[in-house]
Amino acid sequence: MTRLISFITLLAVAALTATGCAGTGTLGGDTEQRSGLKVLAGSELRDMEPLLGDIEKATGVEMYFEYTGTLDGADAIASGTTDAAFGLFANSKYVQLVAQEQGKSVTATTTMRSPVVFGVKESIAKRNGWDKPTAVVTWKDLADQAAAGKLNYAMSNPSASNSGFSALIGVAAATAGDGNALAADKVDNATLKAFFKGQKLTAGGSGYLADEYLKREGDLDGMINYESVILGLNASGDLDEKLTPVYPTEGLITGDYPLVLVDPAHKDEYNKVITYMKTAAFQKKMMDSTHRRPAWPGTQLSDEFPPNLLIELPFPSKLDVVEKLLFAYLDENSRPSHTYYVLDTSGSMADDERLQLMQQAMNNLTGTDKSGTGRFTRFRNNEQITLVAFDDDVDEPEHFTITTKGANGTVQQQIRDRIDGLDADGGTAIYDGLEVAYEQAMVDRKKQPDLFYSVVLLSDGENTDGQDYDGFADSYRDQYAAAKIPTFPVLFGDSNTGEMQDLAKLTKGKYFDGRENLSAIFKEIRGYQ
Amino acid sequence: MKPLNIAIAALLVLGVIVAIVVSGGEDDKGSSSKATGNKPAKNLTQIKTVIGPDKQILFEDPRFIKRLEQLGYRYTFDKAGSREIATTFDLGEYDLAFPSSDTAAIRITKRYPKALRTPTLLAPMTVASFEPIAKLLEKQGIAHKSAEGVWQLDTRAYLAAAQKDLRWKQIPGNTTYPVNKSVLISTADVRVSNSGAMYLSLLSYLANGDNVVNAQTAPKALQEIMPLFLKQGFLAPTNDGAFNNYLVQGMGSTPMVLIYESQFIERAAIDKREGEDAITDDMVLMYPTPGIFAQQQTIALTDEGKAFAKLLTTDKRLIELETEHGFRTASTGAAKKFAEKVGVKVPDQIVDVVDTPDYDVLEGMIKKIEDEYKRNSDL
Repeated sequence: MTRLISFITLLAVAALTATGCAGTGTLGGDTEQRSGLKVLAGSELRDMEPLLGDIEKATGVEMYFEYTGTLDGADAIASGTTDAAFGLFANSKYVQLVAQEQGKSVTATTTMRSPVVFGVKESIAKRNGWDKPTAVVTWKDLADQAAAGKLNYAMSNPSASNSGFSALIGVAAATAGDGNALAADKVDNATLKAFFKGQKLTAGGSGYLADEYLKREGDLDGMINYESVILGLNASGDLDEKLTPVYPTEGLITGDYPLVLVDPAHKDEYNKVITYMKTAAFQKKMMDSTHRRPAWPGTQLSDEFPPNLLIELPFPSKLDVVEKLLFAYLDENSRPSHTYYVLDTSGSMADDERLQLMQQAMNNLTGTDKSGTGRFTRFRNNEQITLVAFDDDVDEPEHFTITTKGANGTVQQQIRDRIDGLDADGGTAIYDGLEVAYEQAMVDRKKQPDLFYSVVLLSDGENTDGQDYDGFADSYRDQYAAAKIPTFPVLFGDSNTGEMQDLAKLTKGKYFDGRENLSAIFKEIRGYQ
Repeated sequence: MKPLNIAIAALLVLGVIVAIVVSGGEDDKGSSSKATGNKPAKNLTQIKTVIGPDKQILFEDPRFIKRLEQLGYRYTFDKAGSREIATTFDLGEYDLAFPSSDTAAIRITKRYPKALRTPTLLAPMTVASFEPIAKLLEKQGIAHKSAEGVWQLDTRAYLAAAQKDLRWKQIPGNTTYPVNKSVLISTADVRVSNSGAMYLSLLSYLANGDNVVNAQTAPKALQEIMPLFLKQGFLAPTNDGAFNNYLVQGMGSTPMVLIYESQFIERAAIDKREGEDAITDDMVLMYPTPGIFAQQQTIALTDEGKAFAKLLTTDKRLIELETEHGFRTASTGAAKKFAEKVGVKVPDQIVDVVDTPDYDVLEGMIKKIEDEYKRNSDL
């Protein structure tokens, strides 16, 4: 198998050698050379890795996975900007819709199935009578509970991840009172808004959502995710309390995991892999180890799957319906966010165009990025942004509230003006900057407790001024931990990787590696906000 | 003795690839180099084909491969939707095209006037469904069992109900399927698949006062039946995908699916041969009345292709295998006999059928449907 050495990999290698970073190898991205064919894959497909060996043995085709959210992957495939040979996501419908618009066709073959369900903590399911096999539970029931504050749940961002999007369609269909393809029917935004009141945690992918759920299990009553993820967590022993999968009776959406041929040059390997994955032997092994349902006749459903008749809701057939639903979610129906961007403007940011890269990444979020992912990651209507710039001193926090959709609002322009006006000079007081952000967040949160609060930290080097990491950690534990506001540290330039990782752990956030493509990372973080 | 092609080395490689791709369906049994094994590739004429997806299982059948080798041929096949084969597919490198409808075949010969069309297989369009669903339709006067015990779907009653947007849960006494979805037959995507185009032909005939549509009458007829496509939402591009949804997900996702009769019979035959249970006891095959036939023609683009195509209609063993894959052939009566052998009841005669419109008229309707999908919705 020839290896494809992508331009991105070359960049990454260059970046690593330039910064002299020791490269722990745990930071993902294209920092290692992998052999075999690259497969873009959804984050919940980590459970497939042990099966790649079986596939290679049976077909001679070696593959490795690179994980992304569904929309990012779909965008890369549809725009032809990936060097991957194949794609494997819960559905390829977004890719197919885009391809149809371009008059192209997509080669895709289903490999396994999993419906998107509502996993409710056992005790709560029992209390509501939802655990009986004959129980009739509707999206409307779930929405009522959420609106009443009795059902707090994790759900992935529908604009980044298919499981969240499937839930969005489910609730939209249920509230429209119609099981057909969503079309010109009025979607009941008031009920949608009530449903999403209960969404207390989000992430940019279904697998990542499961990780985040484990960090915050105590605060939540359940999680919307694939049946396979719910069953997998139950079997893993990692949960404090098992989740009962609930199958809403108006209908749900099943991911059918089509393997997409991205690079036609690998058609022969594709055919070999598909032929093997269709066999009863593989389907059974897959079902037993990943808790997904078979996609081909010839394999009996195992006992762990309930025998309920699952009603399948149609996926929208029009691209613009998909987009309208998503924008309505982002701009009207989801809980608004308040994000604090703690940005390093020290002297070292003047090197290697670091300041420009940061400005580009921030400005993209104001709506100037017109790509598929750009449009869905821009700042949303009703969103609040607080900028905390620091060098050896910390600037006054500057607060903005978005009041329009799109990129043409005055507030979006004000943010761009402020970002463009930043300059790089002085020392680095990371932990003072963070402290200022958290202090402000605590004040804001007292006034508006119902928003999604989070902090994004971008620094390109060692802390040289003000308090150190330990000082901040003490403050955090004493004063801020109860508010559960995560920090998303972004590795950049010469970041102290260890401290950034500790910071993510301390605040139950997640760190991201922005050293290859800062703009892409800033967009990816949006899935968690 | 067939003439050899010149680049023998390349052909040997091709031969190996054919062995893996085409016989792969039996991989779970162990060895992958089955039917072709170690037979020498010389003296075999290489044939490059493109086929509609409903013939994939036939073309992957090791017995089919073996018989054609005995006759001196080794083939590769690509799979594509009939409309794509007919309109945009570059057939320059191919010996044979085998879409799933005669309209597609006629269209291809417009692009390649020297090509030879040969009627080869026949498959009536049918609706695969479930016993509880058929009973509900019976309650509504949309379906009934014929004297022979075969389920018939009254297409006119179905269309009338669909136009009134009948929902499953509105059918009185419905305890088996109280779902708030429209009573609709699922189809593969009409923009890609021939089976979708067959559905369009049938419905447009009925919407046009029982007359085949022409350029003048098509637009009005189309307006009346457009919702039956749009309300389905996102569709499987190909027919085998739609049938697979039916088999694997069942009644909850696909209470009725439009398929070729051959797919159901073929699947029942595989069940019998492999001891599998894809066709379960509660699955039924319904015959729309009036109905429509898919006349499947081969289009031979080269001399080798012509000889190959001839064999498909004259060789006894090949015809036998085509029958085992559910197709009706020139061998009358064989189809029904075989269907009964594998436990599928088919009607003695299918007479109430409609004709397909002209290719250009059909294409015009499909283009309008394409536009409708792209039109901005009011949501």
